[in-house]
Amino acid sequence: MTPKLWLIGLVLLTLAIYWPLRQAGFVYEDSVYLEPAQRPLGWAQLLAPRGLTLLSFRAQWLADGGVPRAAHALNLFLHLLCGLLVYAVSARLLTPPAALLASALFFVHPLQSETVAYLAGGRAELIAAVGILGVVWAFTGPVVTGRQVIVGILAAVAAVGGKELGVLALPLVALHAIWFRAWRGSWRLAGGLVMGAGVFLGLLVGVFHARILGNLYLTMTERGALAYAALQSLALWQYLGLAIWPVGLSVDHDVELASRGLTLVTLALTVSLASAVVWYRRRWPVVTFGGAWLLLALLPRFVVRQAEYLNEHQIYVALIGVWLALAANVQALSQWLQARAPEALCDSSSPSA
Amino acid sequence: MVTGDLTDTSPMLTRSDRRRLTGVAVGIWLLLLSGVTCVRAQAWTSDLTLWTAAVAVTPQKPRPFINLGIAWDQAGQLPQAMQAWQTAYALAFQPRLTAYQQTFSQVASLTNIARVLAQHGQEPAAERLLTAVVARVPQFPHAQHNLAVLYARTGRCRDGLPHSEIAARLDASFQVMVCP
Repeated sequence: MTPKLWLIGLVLLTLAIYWPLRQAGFVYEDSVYLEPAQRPLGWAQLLAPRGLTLLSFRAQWLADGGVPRAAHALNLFLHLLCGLLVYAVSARLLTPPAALLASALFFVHPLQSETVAYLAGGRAELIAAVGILGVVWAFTGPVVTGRQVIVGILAAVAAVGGKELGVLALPLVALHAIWFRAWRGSWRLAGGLVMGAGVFLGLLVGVFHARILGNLYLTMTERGALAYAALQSLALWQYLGLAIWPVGLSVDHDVELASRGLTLVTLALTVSLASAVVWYRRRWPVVTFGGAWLLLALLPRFVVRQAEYLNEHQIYVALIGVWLALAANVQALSQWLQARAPEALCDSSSPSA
Repeated sequence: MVTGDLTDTSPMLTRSDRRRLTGVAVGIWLLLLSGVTCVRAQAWTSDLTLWTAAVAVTPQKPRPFINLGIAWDQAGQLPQAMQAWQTAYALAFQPRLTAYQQTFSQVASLTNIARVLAQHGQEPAAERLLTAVVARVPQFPHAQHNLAVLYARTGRCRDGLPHSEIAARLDASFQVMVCP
């Protein structure tokens, strides 16, 4: 079977998995977030971070008057698009079966389900993820064509329009260039990166003013910077455990049973992971690139102190790094097993003619 | 013979067997993940299924019970709603919770119970509860708003006005009420 047929199979499997959502209504805080869509949007709302997300809710409201099924269908469509983009990005780093595994994990893993099913929290993540993956795909090819630059710019608009996290796209492209020494002196890539850096800094200032300064929500946490980072580390390692053994998923993400010692141990583990990612980047480039993707995507949630802990929909983009690393490990394991097969041992024991 | 010959391959899996085995193991893993995801998608179909699933996973946490109570209330099942909020209130005193989690869980449970009492003709009891809540946590906007509405409903709108103003200041989704 060709990768294309496998991808079609994965898309059909994903549609089947999310079949129950056809009966879903608006749940949890959906109504609160969808309420502004009933009024016309101003330019200030459209141009602010998440403007595209608001526009998608507004357009949907105008098209169908706020029918949950259509909204869930759009979320599912965006998830499928992200899954295909995960394959496109992974295929540049892994063998086709391993790239298929990375995209399969993205398509079907329960840790991604909250983003797909929860309109209020998920839509922004989905639009940003499409944009981030689009930018990474456009600027990490062997050759960056003019068409890819255009796709990259449009994807960057989608990334930031979806959510402020979209600014992550540029550091990820830079990370890829450093990790795989992909720099080939392309003026298009250079131009894209310089323009992107300017836009990145501008957006960073904008996001800082719009979302952080004067945000009362950020003053509600009881913890200092170190204690907060330690608590988020505990949440991160719980999610990494759930990535392998997804039992005990819940919409309530608060971490309550957190002793100071345990959170500090997990913070030390996170720092160790970051060190290992840098230290072993030449030996295991794809695995460590996945780790770097994960940590970079989560960095804002370790620094900006909200009253809530990491939740499932906030790790939607970060998990792509985990799937990349897992698929690379499975690929390495499979190659190791095959290298130890009797034929391989015979091949290596008898000199070739 | 003490050691096997490298060419004696009979008990070992061939390269294609190993490839197939890896594929089967990965396939089973993906199918299990798919099953769990399908269950999660089912949980996300309504507030009732969502918070029932959450309570099943973490029966010691107050917040899922608060939201389960709201879901039961919206479904018109008042006894189940009251039971869920009472459970949440009882769980809200656990020392493992932070001070913020304890306070929030307690006042949110009481505010919901008071709201339902007021809606079912027990205004004096509701007023006692809400007055106690706003005295303890004046920055909880829902209690301030509900107390203001309760005053208005019992013909004391002007007494409720300060509470309505505080609620609107704390949470922009609340409008300051207008007294006749």
